[in-house]
Amino acid sequence: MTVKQNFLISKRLNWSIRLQGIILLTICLSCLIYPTAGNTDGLDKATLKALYTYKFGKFSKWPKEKVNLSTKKFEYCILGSSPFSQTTMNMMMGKTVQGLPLTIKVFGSGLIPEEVLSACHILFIGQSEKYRLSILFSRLKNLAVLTVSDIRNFSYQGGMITLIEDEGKIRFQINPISLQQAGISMSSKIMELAEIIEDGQQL
Amino acid sequence: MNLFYTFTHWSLKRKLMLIMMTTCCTAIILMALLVIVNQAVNSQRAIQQQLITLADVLGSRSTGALTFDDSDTAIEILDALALKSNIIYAVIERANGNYFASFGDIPEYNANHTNEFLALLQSILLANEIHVVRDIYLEKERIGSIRIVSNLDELQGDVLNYMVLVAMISITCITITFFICTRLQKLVSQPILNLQKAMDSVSENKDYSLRVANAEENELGALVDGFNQMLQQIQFRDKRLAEHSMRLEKTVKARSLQLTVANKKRILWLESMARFLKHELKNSSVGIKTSLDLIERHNTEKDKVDVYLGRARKSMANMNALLQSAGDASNLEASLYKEEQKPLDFGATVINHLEVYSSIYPDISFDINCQKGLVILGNEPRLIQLLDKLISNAVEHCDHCAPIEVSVKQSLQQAQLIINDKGDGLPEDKKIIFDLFVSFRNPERKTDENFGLGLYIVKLIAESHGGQVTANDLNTGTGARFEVTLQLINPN
Repeated sequence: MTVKQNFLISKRLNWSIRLQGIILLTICLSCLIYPTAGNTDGLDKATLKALYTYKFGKFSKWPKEKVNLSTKKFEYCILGSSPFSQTTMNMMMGKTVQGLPLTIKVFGSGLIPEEVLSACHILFIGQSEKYRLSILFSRLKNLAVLTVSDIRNFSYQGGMITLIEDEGKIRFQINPISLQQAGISMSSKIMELAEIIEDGQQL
Repeated sequence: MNLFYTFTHWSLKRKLMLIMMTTCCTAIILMALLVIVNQAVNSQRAIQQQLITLADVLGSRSTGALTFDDSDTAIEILDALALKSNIIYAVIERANGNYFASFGDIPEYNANHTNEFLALLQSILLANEIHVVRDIYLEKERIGSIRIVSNLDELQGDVLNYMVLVAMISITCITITFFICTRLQKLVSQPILNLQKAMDSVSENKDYSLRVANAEENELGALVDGFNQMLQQIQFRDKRLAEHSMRLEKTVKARSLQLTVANKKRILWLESMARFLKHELKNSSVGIKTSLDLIERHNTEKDKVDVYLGRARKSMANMNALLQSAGDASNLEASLYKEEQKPLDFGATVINHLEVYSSIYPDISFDINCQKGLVILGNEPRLIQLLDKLISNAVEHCDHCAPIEVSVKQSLQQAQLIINDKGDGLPEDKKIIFDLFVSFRNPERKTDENFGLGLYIVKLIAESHGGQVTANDLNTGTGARFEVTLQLINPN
């Protein structure tokens, strides 16, 4: 191989490297410019309910005492039969709410000690508990726990947020009196999205 | 080049106005442009800032709708933009760039446009639109973005109004500047125009007594002062020229008078000289004729013939001496005024020459009192000739026992030569002794060759030096005093 041939090969290689560099740079720039994906399209209703429930935490404010007593964790409790799959819960585990790492606690059906319930920030109540709601609400009375459920007329019975399916979308009802009694304030950004239930009446 | 040539022919006033107005107008127009540009930029920034605030508020309000995927509520939130007429459209997008909700007519939706950098680029490229894109965050997590596009009709209207206002202010400023410049240019042009007027007046009327009023203490003041000084110098020179001219006229008149008098004198002198010569020559010729008649009558008597021949020869010699003296006098008079005169110390000249007289006249004693340092303008040989004649005259008339007094001294602005001798007195008419062929010698001392030329020569030499000679009797009794006065060059 002559020196001239060597020179021509090295020249071709240089051009090839340059072309690759340009393509790589273009891809990188495209990645920078193109926004990251994160919409809820394609998720099943149960996953959406799980995501919505924990996102309520981002729009709610708990009393100061609750914040001070907390164990530097945002506790997401599930009571009774859970509609959420393990995959969904794994996906949620890495999230943060109000700067606190999200932890998920799942409790079986039955009576849960008041001390355990008081540590929860959000309590999702499964369909299995729809007949024990009155007892549960009496236990939760005076506890700053945001109660969410997909049980029909949950907010009419004294629950705080009810997730309902409407024309393929997840909507929710809010009982502001229950929230007020628990000392939890909800952002108006949520309130204007929700169906407000007051004193067992739809407003 | 032609423009520059035109400017060079403009008056000073017009040039000053042009310079000042050009400078002021340039400054005002530049300022106006800067103000308009600044106003346009600030207005655009203000609108952009308003849109950013609006986008932030609407984005914040839309966090719930975005989080819970409620596009209807988001549209309701965006509908608040209907109050602002300048908004073309607004879009809320999800975090992945997908369309979520909108307000107004979106031209052609393209997710790639939802970037702040590209929005800014669009704002620059599309001059009539402002694109604002703000990200929507929920607890530091980007959950979407809002994009608001506004037209610039309001801004353009404001800028146009502002331009009209600035143009009116600029025109007012230029008008005021024009009036101020019209007044201010006089500070420079007025002194120069005054100078020009004065110069024209001086050129026309030749009146160098004119002066330009000067109230400036700068370069223009110096120029006016210089012009006034120049006029003053010309006026002074003219005055001196006029004085010189008058003096010259007087001198010419005086000289003409002198010449007329001298001419008359000369005519009289020539007449008297003719009479004198006629008389003397007649006497000599009569003596020769008588001698010849007697020789003819007594030609046999040799002794008598010799005596008569002697008498005839004497008469002939007398005639020759007479003619020689007349010739010398004429030559001296003609040459005196042509001879060069130089500055000389009159006292020193007299002292130096008196030593010679002591050797020539050993029997005569001289009493000398001469002041040195009296400088006159004169011809030294002629002045020595003058001294010779006066000393010779004094020696001839003096009593040999008494010394001849010779003195030179200063009298006012003149040098005086005084020679006193104690001897024969002077005739009553003192002036006549200086005339030609006048001699008042004692008959015993008179010789045949003496025809009264000495004092005449003294008078000629004194007058040719601008001086004069006078003769007077001595106060002490017998004796004469001759006084020659000559003009000193520098009396001090």
